[in-house]
Amino acid sequence: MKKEGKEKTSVAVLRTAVSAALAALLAIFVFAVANYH
Amino acid sequence: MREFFNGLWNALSSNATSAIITIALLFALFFYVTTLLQRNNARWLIAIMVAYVAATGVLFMNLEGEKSPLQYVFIVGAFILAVLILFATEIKRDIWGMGAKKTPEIKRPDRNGGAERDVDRYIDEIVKATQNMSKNDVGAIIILANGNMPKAVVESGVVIDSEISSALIESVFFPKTPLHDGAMIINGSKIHAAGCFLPLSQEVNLPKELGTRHRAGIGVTETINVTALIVSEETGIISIAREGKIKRYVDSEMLRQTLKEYYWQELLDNKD
Repeated sequence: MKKEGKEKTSVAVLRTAVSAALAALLAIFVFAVANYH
Repeated sequence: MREFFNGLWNALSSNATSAIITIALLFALFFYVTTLLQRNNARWLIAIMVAYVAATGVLFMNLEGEKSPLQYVFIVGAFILAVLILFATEIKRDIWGMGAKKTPEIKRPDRNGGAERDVDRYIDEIVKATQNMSKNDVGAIIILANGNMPKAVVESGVVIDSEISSALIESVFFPKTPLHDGAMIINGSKIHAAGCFLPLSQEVNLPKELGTRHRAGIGVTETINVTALIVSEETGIISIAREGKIKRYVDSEMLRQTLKEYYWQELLDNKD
């Protein structure tokens, strides 16, 4: 039960990291495009 | 390409504070949307979002004439708004869950395994009560909450705040008693309230044999992050509702597993 919990936690951390990286890329891209002249 | 990075650099250097705040807000928005889509198995929509942002970005950069930064923000905002509308129920659940505490009544596991023994007892009591009610065709709905039930729902019933026991659970749902028709809310080691009225699901595709009790179980899990255990009055069938979806014909093992997930995850979180 404890091992399962740890595995679930590491998958959740990985998903959060991927989401954060993608969100950072999109945020910088949108900001850059909006300020493109 | 160079102009793209020059524009970014100029915007950052001309007013760094407002640039950082804008990027932080955009990051928060995109982070929420991507995690929302991940949680709801809509990863394909993340790919569409990335493609949409990139394509409209390239088109915007190649537009002739006067351009306002807001125009592009609105173009991206329209897509995000559409996603938010599509997942309105899940967002409502997130908002309700914001103030949720982890089950406060469960003690930190001690060296002698005291909390573990307590949890095993709670699980045994709930399983015993549910199976007895199922055998005798007594209708019941039990909500496994984490202190995240809206106050209005709790106040629609009677606050009990008592130890979990199969005898008490069965007594509450015994037909013709004043509280038997509402839902019982369990918060960790306590029966928090009983006789509570829950929001009903408006889902039109539910099987006809599911009555109001099942609709209430599904309805509450659509908007609040809780698990509902339902015993049918007509058939004695035990069902489990989670995240707006119902699983019927639940046996004692599945019921025990669901309760373990509810209690043990909490203990594991506390241990970390």
